[in-house]
Amino acid sequence: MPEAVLISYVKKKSFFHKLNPLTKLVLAVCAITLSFLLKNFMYNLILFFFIIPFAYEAKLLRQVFKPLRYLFIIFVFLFGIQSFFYPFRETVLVQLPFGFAIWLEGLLYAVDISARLLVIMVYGYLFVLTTHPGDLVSELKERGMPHWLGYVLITTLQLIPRVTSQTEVIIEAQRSRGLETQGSVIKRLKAYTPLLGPLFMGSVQNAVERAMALEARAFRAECDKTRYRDVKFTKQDKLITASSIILSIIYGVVSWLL
Amino acid sequence: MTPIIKASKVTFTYPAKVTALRDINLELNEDEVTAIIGQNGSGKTTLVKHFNGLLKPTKGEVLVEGKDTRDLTTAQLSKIVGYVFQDPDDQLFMSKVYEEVAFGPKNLGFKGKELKSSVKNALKMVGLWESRKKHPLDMNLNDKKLVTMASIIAMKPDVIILDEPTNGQDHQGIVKVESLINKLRKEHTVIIISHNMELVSKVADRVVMMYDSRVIFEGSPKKAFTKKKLLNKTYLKPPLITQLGQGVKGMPSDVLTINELVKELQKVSK
Ligand SMILES: Nc1ncnc2c1ncn2[C@@H]1O[C@H](COP(=O)(O)OP(=O)(O)OP(=O)(O)O)[C@@H](O)[C@H]1O
Ligand SMILES: [Mg+2]
Repeated sequence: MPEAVLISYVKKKSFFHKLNPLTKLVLAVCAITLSFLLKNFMYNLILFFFIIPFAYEAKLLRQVFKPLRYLFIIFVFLFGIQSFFYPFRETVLVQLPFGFAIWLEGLLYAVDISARLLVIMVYGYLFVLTTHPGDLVSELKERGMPHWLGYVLITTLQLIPRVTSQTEVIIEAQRSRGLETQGSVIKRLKAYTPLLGPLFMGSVQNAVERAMALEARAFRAECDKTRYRDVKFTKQDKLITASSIILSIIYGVVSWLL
Repeated sequence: MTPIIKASKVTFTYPAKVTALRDINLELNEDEVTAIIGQNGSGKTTLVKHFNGLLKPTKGEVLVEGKDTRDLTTAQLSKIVGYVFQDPDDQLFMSKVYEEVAFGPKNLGFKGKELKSSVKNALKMVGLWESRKKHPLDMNLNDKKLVTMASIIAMKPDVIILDEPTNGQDHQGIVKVESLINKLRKEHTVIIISHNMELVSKVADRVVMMYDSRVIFEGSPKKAFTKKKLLNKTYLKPPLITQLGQGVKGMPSDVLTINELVKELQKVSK
């Protein structure tokens, strides 16, 4: 599980990395919106494979596709439930004993959702993997997002990695004091309970310390702020943003006309 | 005498692909005080985390009382080896000093009177029995560090590892730590990691010097502090008294205590 949830920016030298965060965001949003609008799963599968050149250029092919294996469990449930119990079932595909049957419509529905999930995941991953949170926030501020909101956004983005590393530290401390955290699921669950208190306390203390550090560095000073990360919106960005939107519309329309 | 901890050909690489230990061979004897010294990042903490199983060797093996650490969990090893973390904030997680100290012994199955007395003894030993109701994280660094020590002492392990016990402490804190080590050595095998060479010269029976993920020297403190080249390499200086001795013509280069120094100076002046 962790890898799938904790995916974050990977620094690489590539054209795709250098694109403006908004450009990449537009591409991801286009693909994800499309995945809901396309006529059937075939079009979604094409869209899914369409990411390969981008991921390849960003040198992140493996990182984009590897976490998909965690979807497997979801697929098992999806197919298990939908192919038996899809409400709009009409055509029996395989008749099973006790009145059970695998239904064609259910199966197709499951395929549909799976293809959509695949698209959402890979385009989402590619965005997160290639966009430094700092660049994203910097760009959003440039476009008028308030200063403090930018800070909230960036701390939220850092929250998960921070909490995981804190959890690990506390678990080490507890194991060194004789708490068994390895072994059965129940044992592990038990080990996690005494963790919640310190973790929560630690976060509060952290927040207080952070606030002081921010104040000490004139966070609330009322003046125009300069930025350390300078993000540009280049001609290429314009081109790619425009073509993402236009091609998406064309592709969506074509899928319904053909 | 069989060593209580034995490391053979230990190599360790962190998941982030940093190799922090290379081919470490080491035997630690029972009832000795061993000091591990070496510059920041030389691998000291990584090494001692192998002794209580928090880390397991990538290559080679670590035996604790003859048992391979790979076959035991850290929880099981904590009965034998107690590790006091370098940073107390990484170790403290209960909301009362008393509970903090009782956490370990409870996990080891101490109950009733045995539990109470072990906690009380440990807190008295570090001089914090009166503060038992305080919140550990509200205390100053000296006291936090002492609480972390008490929380290990209360578990009565055979081996106690103190990772930079005097780091960031004021003079009074250092004096306390020194006397604590002298108390502990009566019943435990003690391992300290320290940058404080005065402390090392006073308490250690044996010195292990680390540089760039390797052990580059092990032997008595007297010998260690004459190894100028090795010390330089890892940015260490002998205690002031030793340096003084080394600076005076006709004096031995391994003077460690004030008494020795006075004697030697008298000899020279005659
Ligand atoms: N969790 C980790 N992941 C990756 N690398 C690490 C990790 N912990 C330590 N290191 C690296 O391993 C090397 C040895 O670190 P270690 O903490 O053992 O050194 P040390 O001798 O205890 O230093 P110090 O005197 O600063 O405490 C260092 O280069 C350090 O950056
Ligand atoms: Mg260390």
